[in-house]
Amino acid sequence: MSSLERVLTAVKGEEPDIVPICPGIFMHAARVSGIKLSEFCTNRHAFAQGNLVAYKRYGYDGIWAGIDAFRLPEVMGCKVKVPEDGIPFVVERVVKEVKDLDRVRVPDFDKDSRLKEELKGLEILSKELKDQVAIAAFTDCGFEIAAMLMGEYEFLKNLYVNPDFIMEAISIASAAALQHGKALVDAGVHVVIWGSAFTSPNVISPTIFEKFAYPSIMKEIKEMHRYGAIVSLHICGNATPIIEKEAEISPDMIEFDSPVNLSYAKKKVGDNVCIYGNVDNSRTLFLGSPRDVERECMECIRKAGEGGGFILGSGCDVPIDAPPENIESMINTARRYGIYSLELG
Amino acid sequence: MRENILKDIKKAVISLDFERIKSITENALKEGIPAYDILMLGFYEGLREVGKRYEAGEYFLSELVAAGEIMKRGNDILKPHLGGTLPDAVQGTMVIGTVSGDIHDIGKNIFTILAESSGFSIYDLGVDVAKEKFTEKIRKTQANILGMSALLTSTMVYMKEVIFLLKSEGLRDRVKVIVGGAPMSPSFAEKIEADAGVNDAIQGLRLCKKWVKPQIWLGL
Repeated sequence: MSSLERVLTAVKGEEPDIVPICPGIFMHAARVSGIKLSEFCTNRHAFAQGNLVAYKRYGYDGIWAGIDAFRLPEVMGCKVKVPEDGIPFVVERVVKEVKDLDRVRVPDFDKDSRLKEELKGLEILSKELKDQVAIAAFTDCGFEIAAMLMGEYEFLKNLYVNPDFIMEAISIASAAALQHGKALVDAGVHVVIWGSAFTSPNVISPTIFEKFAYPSIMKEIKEMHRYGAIVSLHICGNATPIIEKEAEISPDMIEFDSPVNLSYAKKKVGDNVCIYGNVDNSRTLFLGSPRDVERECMECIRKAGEGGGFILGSGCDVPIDAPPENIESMINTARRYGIYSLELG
Repeated sequence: MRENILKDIKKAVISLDFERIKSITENALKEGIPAYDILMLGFYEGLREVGKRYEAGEYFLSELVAAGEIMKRGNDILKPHLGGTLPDAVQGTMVIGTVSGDIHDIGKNIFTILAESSGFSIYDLGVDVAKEKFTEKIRKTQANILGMSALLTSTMVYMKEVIFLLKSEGLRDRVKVIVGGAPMSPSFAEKIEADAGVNDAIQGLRLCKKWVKPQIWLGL
């Protein structure tokens, strides 16, 4: 089986030859390929090159590719600073009050931007590797983008103070998310990750989730499915209280962060959706040893591997400065202990 | 009557009722209830319950933020009526900021709003704060606590550099250092020689309170 077939088999809920391994490599690719983050996050060739070098070095089954999440809010009007060798961040939000919603720009993918560079970079990657390895790239759900447009604190505050304002912001952001998601499909990625940190129960209550996030994400993913996309829902943190709601949204795959117990997730939703996860990115991949990584990968495989429908990955993004030996250990462990069956003859 | 009005304010804080909070607070003043009582027996009693619900897993960050905002509304209405009656309760002065290279400030903002509601004086340096900025502010404000926040695992190591600078400038013994953020833990704090490491705003606030000697504790 090729890496791509392996991933797609798991996405269908079936059993591949071995457990596919797809660490959320993202900007770690820049570090491991010796490319400055400011280059990686602004230039299509640097982005593609970094991802190619990282892929060749590690040999995983799926390239989880992307720059920072602010590239979309940036084209919508937020001001972003790109440090020489750090992660880009927002210095000015486009929405400060209700009337600013009119200032939010509809993303224009033809205009020069970091977003366009990433899309073009994905095209290059896809042309080079499309038939061998799975390529996944992310956009964020409307709820998350709305939070980035107005600043997370203002966003949380207004969930209670001015819910109509939030609803309107989400609807504008949702349209942008869909535009971006479709552009990712057009660029040739196999899996579109629908991301969100702010819908996590670490941030909002399940009640708020149901009222604001669930209906909008449901609509977004339905539309992406109509467009023919394979969608992976990624909600950061401890999503345990909303696991069933996540599955109800009907993504093809759910990425679980490390606080979620994979046995529980497998039991609750494993029959309906492919499960991805969930090696602890800070404690294990960043601060742990290759032995720790091996132990945790085996645990993940044991908890969620049975019967297929499982992709071994990191809980969230691999930290930029994670020791490369730790990522190697993930791949080695999957190859050694993730064998489903021996093909004879 | 008086009891019912105060109970109603407490209830509005707990249920995060932004629609009613202004009118019922103004009504309480109109009924002749002292501003100090409204604050202590209405608002702070409500906030305390919000804290309990947060710790019990019934309330989440979104509710903590909203509770902080509702406290602010109450303070704004009541302040002109408080005169000098609010006791100078806390001697906690704190310099706080998200460390260099990191721009995540949600946890820091929540902590700040809750700590302010509890009587701490907070100097918030914002995000992406360089180490020299921390020490400079500590010197200027005579702060007795330094709070550093980080979400990214790649930036949490910067906290160690700040502590190193505190030492070399002879400031380390003057301040307690608390580090906060999702990836923080007591063992990480110990490793970088901070006094505490927490991943929860309420837990952090509780520790900070232990470090200063108050006459009365407000709020959570």
